[in-house]
Amino acid sequence: MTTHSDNKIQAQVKLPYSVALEVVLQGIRIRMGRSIVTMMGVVLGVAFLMSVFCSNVIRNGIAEESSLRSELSRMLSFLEAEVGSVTDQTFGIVVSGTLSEMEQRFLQRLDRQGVGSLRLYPHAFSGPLPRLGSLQSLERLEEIRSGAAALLVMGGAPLKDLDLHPALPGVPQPVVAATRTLHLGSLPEGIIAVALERELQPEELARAEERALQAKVRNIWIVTIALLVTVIGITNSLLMSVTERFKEIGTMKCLGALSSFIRRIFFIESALTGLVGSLMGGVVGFLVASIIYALTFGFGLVFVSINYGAILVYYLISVLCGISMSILAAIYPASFASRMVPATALRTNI
Amino acid sequence: MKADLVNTLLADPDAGTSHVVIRGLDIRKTYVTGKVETHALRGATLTINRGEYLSIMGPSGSGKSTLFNMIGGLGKPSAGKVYIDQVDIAQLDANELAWLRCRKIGYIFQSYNLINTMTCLENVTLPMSFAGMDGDDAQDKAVEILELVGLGHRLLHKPAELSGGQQQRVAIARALANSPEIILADEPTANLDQKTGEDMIELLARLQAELGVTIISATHDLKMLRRSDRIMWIKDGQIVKTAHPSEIDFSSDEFH
Repeated sequence: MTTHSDNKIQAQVKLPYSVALEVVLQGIRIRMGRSIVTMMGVVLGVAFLMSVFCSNVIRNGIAEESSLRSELSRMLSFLEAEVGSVTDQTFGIVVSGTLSEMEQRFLQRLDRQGVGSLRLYPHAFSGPLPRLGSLQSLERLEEIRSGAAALLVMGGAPLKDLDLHPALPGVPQPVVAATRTLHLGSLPEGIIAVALERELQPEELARAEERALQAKVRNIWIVTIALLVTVIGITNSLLMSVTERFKEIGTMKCLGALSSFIRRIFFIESALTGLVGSLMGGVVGFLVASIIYALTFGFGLVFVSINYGAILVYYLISVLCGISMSILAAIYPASFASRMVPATALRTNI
Repeated sequence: MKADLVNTLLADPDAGTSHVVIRGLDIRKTYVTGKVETHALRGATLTINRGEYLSIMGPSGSGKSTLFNMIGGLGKPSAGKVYIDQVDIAQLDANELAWLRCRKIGYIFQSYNLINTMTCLENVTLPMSFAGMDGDDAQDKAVEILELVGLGHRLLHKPAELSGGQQQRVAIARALANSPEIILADEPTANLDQKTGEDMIELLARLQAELGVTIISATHDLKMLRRSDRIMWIKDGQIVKTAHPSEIDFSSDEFH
């Protein structure tokens, strides 16, 4: 040990974040109980946020799925009105352009109804086809021979000058069903054309939009309140933690810690608790929301109809929200702790 | 007469003071709690020489702790001046004060004030990392200091796992971490057994003799008082008496 030869007083060095992080991690490990209580606040807040998000996604998914299912039943009954029961019948299918989800599901539905076979000719089509037992992919249009009960025209692209005659079933008035209105114009003469698509009425659309807007406003209000409560909860918990550590903070200041170091400790601690709490809270929120809906609407419907991409996006949003709430909540406690005069901190007997 | 002394000192505080490490001029400190004002210090004036072993005595409530805080740069006086190494601490900003507390002064608190979440070793390396010392160097130095205070075998224990005496020794080791010029000790032997207390007094005396460290301690420990170069009495926020141990009758009632 040597005494300092340089007597000049200098400004204290600023410490890197890693030192503060080390101190924080140690503190969290030792004071696990308190950290968990703080974290539970974040978990609950984020779980609530996430469950609201998930409920929306699930509700939309269910609404879409059930309207899709009823549309499919309607389409099937339109088709059956012309050709009788589809069971054990053969259908010729011409696909032009890409298949919409509804069209794919319609093929699946036909397959499940026990059709004899689906002879599909892809015309200007380059997407994956649904894997179905009764589906045969054809090289040429002529291969859809006369055994077919009806010809189905599907896909997003117009048929243009494709001649459907070779594919038409060999009966006087063959049935040709189109899943989209745009194909109806290009169908040949002398057939029974069946339009499977139904266009939504404008007032129906407007009503749906209005409902969505109302739900959105209501959700924003509930979520704001819940997040405010969470922020206040975290602040309260951190203030407790500051009071508990008065002596420790004072000691660190006596040993040469800068106010910025003390502030940093609380910010890092809060952000870390926020991160872990949000990660957990998001999962909890998703599980709670999906299980509640599953119990009401049935597991099959809920887990099939969930849009997992949207859920993932909302999960990230919730986690970011949780972290920013934690940092926001730490502003007051951190500055309160860092402003403390070392002597004051030491005098407090807590 | 005292006023005259203060005036001359105020007029030229730095005159021939290279041997003075801490100078306090008419320090006053008033704490305000709600509407109640407490005058902890009422004009304490003192000079502490470099390399001296000074003991401060005073009953509780005499302003002893406040005086410690003021001369240790832990708080600023309401009125009066404190010079540490001829620098008026009122002129220092927060960063410079932190630097001063970190490198120039080592504090030994009566209640140890160890960081309970850290091991002994980490408690000692903490002030070193505040001083910007690199991890491995700090580790080696901390081990060396802990061995010096006889805790080489308890490096990785938490303070809660140690006896009071051992905790006090960790606190002393921590105070020595940045090789300070001044050690401020508040009742450093109060919680130690006879033997350890003597060891600590010996250790402090050695630091003073070998490294020229200035040692200021509040104490009622007779052994410590006998070892010191000067004893100062504080009463009602003022320094009332200063004497060399040889001038004092330790058998009087005051010491029992």
